[in-house]
Parts: sequence; C-alpha cells; structure tokens
Amino acid sequence: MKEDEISRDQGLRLALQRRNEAAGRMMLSEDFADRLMQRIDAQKTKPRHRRTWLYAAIGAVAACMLLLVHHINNNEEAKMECSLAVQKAALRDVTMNAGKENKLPVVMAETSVAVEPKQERAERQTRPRGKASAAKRKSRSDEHITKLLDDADKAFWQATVQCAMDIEETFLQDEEQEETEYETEIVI
Amino acid sequence: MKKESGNTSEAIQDETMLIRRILDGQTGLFRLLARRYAGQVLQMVARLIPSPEEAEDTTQDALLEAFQSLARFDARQATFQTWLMRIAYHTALKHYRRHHKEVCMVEVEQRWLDNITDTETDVLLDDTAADRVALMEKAIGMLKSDDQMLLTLYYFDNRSIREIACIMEHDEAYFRSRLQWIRKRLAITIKTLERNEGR
Repeated sequence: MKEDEISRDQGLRLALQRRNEAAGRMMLSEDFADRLMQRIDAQKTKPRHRRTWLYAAIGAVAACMLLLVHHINNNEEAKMECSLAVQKAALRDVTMNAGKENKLPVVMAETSVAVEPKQERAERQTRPRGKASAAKRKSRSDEHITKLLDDADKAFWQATVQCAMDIEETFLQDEEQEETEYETEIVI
Repeated sequence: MKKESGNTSEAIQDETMLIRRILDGQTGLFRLLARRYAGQVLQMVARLIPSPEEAEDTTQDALLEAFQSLARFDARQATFQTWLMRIAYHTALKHYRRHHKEVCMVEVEQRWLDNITDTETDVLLDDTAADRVALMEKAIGMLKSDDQMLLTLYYFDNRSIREIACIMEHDEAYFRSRLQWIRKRLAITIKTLERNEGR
C-alpha cells in the first residue's frame, strides 16, 4: 500500500511539508539535557518497576481467592450443620415416639456403619449353605433331645407306677400275713 | 545494506544494555538516551505545539515520563525510538488539549463524503498548484489534532501503518480506513473553501 501511494497525493505532501517547516527548524536550548537531569535528580525517582505492581496485583487476586474459598467453606459447613441438626431432630422424634409406644424411653446410640469390603460380601454369600445345614443339624438335635426327654418321662412314669404297684402288693401281702397270724393265734 | 542492518542491531543491543544499566540504578546514563532522541521528540511535539518554549517544556515532560516508565519498555513489541515517539505524541496531545481548543470550521456531512468519488479525491490531493497547496494547508489546519498527526506521520515522516498504529495506540485496520476518510474530508473542505472564495 505504501509503495503504491508514495507517488500519490503530491499536493498534500507539499502542504504538510510547509506546515512542518517551522517545527523542523525548532532547536533545543543548550542546557536542555542538564535541566532534564536536574528534574530527574530533583524528583529522586527511580524508574518505576512494573514488577512491583505485578506482585501487588497478584497478591490482591490471591487474597480475594482465599477470602472467596473461606466464604464458600463457611457456607458449606453451615449447610452441613443445618442438615445434621435436622437429621438429629428427626431421630429424636422417632425415638421419643418409640418410647411412648413401649411406655418406656428408648435411648438409641449413634453407631457408625462401616462398609465391608467386597471379599467379605462374597464370603457372606457362600455362608447360607453352612448355615442351613447347621440349622438342620440343630433341629435334628432338638428333635433328638425332645425324644429323649419324652422317653425319660415315659420311663419315669412307668417306674413310678411300678413302684406304687410294688408298694401296694407288699402292703397286701403284709396284711394277709397279719391276718393269718391272727387266725392262728385265735386257733391256739 | 548488510553493514547498515548490522549497525542497527548493534545500536539496538547497545540501547538495550543502556536501558538495563539505567534500570539497575545508573540513572545518569539516561542523559545519553536523551541526547540521542531529544531532537526527534521535539519535532513530534512541535507539530502540535507551535510555541518553541512550550514545545521544549513538553519535550522535557515526555522524556521524564519515558524515564519513569522505562521498565515498561518491551523491545519485542517496538523499537525504543517508536516507543519514545508514542510517549511524545501522547504527552503533546495532552498538553495541546489542555491549552488549545479544537477548531473545526467546516462541518462535513456524511452524504457529501458518500457523494465524492475516489478519483475526484485523488485529483484534488495530487494537485501541486500553489493556490491549491495553500488551501490544502488551511484544510489540514481544520482537521482534528490526531488526524493531523496521522497525516504527518504517514505522508511526511513516511512511517508504516504498523508503526503509526504503535505510536498512536490503535489497530492498523482503523488507520487504513481513517486515512481514506481524512483524504475525502480534505477534498470536500478544499472544494468548500474554493466555493467560499468564489473560485
């Protein structure tokens, strides 16, 4: 663009040249540099370091971030506390109601529920078989015991009856013997 | 050519070293930079401030500002000279706006700008007749100060649009379209002045 337009607008260039003639002729005074350095020394300003501002800005941003994070954390904690309080209140209601039904206050302890690892679950899944057989075994032994008890009970009753019969028999025998002895005395 | 470019890179290296030393505390070395560029800064300032005393004071202000913001100079973005010209331009513009009122004697309507053709504009601005050039000088004086500076940087200093964009802190596309707009506006002003003078 520049190359194409260099030959154009010659009148405009001329006008600008004339306007800037005065500016081109202007000269600086001899003590210009000295006065400039005096001003620099008088101000006693070192060149401003951009880094200072950069660090200040970074610090400000970091502080803002920290405040924001702190604020968010506080909010979350407050929410958690609030929900816990609601849960506890609900739990208290339930326990109180349960106490009323049973006519006794029930104290429920807060217990932590630990999640068992998967392996244990697998073991647990295999357990029901053993448990069934154990239950079976237990029921069998229970039956056996009741049977034994029944047998013992029967034997006890039989023994008792036998004993009674024996006692009656001996009593009768004694009576007969006494009668015969009395008859013989009479005869004598 | 090679020698010239070698000299330029040496000068840039020398300048970078000089700036580093000034930033490290050797502030007296700024005198060297001031001596090297004060003339160019004065020329830039004088385009907006015609009074020699005011122009010299503004040149000092510009150099002082450059010293104070030396740490902000980034050699990857622009040369030290371009960076300094930017500071000089803004300091001069600030001074000019504080002490002078913008004069715009001819109101140009958009429809006039739409009606004038590019060919007509080219013919008018390419004319080197003395009376036309005098009218052009007048017309340039009626432009805004930053438009005047744009014309001077482009046509008189022969700076590239990129450099101008760096000095005046705007994008290149804006200056391309702005230049076309200023040319048309100048053409209309010249025509209006001719009509008013009864030519």
